[in-house]
Amino acid sequence: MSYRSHTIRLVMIIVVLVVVFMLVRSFMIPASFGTYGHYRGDNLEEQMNMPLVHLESAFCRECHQEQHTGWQGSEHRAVNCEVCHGHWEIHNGNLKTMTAVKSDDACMLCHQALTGRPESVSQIKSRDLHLAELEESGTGKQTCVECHDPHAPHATL
Amino acid sequence: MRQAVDEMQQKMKNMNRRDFLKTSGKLCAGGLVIYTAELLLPRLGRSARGTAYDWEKHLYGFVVDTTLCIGCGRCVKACKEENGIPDGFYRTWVERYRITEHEQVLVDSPKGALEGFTEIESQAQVVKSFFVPKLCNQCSQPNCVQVCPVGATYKTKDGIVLVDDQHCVGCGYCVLACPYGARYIDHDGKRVADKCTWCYHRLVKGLSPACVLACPVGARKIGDLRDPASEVSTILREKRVNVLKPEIGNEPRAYYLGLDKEVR
Repeated sequence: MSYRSHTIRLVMIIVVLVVVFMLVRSFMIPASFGTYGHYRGDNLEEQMNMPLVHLESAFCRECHQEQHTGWQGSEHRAVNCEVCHGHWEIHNGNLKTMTAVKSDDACMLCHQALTGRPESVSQIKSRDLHLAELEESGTGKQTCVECHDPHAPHATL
Repeated sequence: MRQAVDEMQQKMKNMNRRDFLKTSGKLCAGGLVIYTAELLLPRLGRSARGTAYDWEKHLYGFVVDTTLCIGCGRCVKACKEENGIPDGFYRTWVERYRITEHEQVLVDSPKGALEGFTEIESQAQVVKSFFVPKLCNQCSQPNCVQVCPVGATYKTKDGIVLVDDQHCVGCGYCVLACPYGARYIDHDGKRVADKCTWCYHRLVKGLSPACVLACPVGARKIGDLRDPASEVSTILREKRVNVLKPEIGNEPRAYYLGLDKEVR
């Protein structure tokens, strides 16, 4: 008889421990964990809702139709707006913050002749050398964009 | 009311061990029921989640054409801006390989190519040189997911491996497990693992990843492998593609065109 009461007490203790363990566990594990797999399901929506920083050139067209059309017909048509002009986020809310990049360094990122650079992209050995050559021919130009309109880069001399 | 309380107190005074144990047992059982309900109910509600994007209908693939890459590094810059990557860390980067006449392999990637490359004079003649963009391979069998002890990194049904920055404990197992060096932990910043997501937030909205958008020569292409007409599906079907370190068996979904044997 006394054995029985001991057994019951033991079982009770085990049950209480299991319940306590499960309650603690339910607090420790995020609510959405396991919704889709062994991870926090809510994170999926958090990932999907990350803010966009870049858009696409088609979006720029909404306002800049003329530039867009000209650019589409040029050799630079594969270079999207945001590559040279900066991403849309800086334009958003303050329309004046987005400007055209006219520095020669920006041009040279792609057009500097480099070991390993495929010849499919037109390249010059050095900007200074290129300008010096032009100097001899008497153009007196100082920067890339004076001859090469980035929206229609074929040189106009 | 008063009477009921009095009765209850009387009962408790008279309670023997047997009654006490009975009541405790009932309370525990009640707790269990509540716990189970708590676990099940939110799931039932969530499965009916209605969003326009159906991840069962997509499976993304990436093609890197190393024969086209010019090493301008615009992809690296766009990625950093799109995803807010701290200085000194890269979700994507570009490597330059130079193989000399003595079969020496020289690899460099200054600032991950964030500011492009500059010419390096080498004493030995360079006989072969090319650029290789790198990014997360979004493996079908990802090591990083397997080793994560807390379930903070996982693979979505459309084939993207993501990191839950709120759940990650920053142990770094995944960084060591990745055979492609695609993961990092910023110990001065968020102290959690991070990696390329192929701009998952853009993919689900039908936009290309920032690096693909920024590439001026089309060396990076993303596509839906479930759509046989997509550019990536067509390339995989018709061109000779390879993956990085195929011997490991991770089955990457980033495929390379013109991959040299020296590329690791």
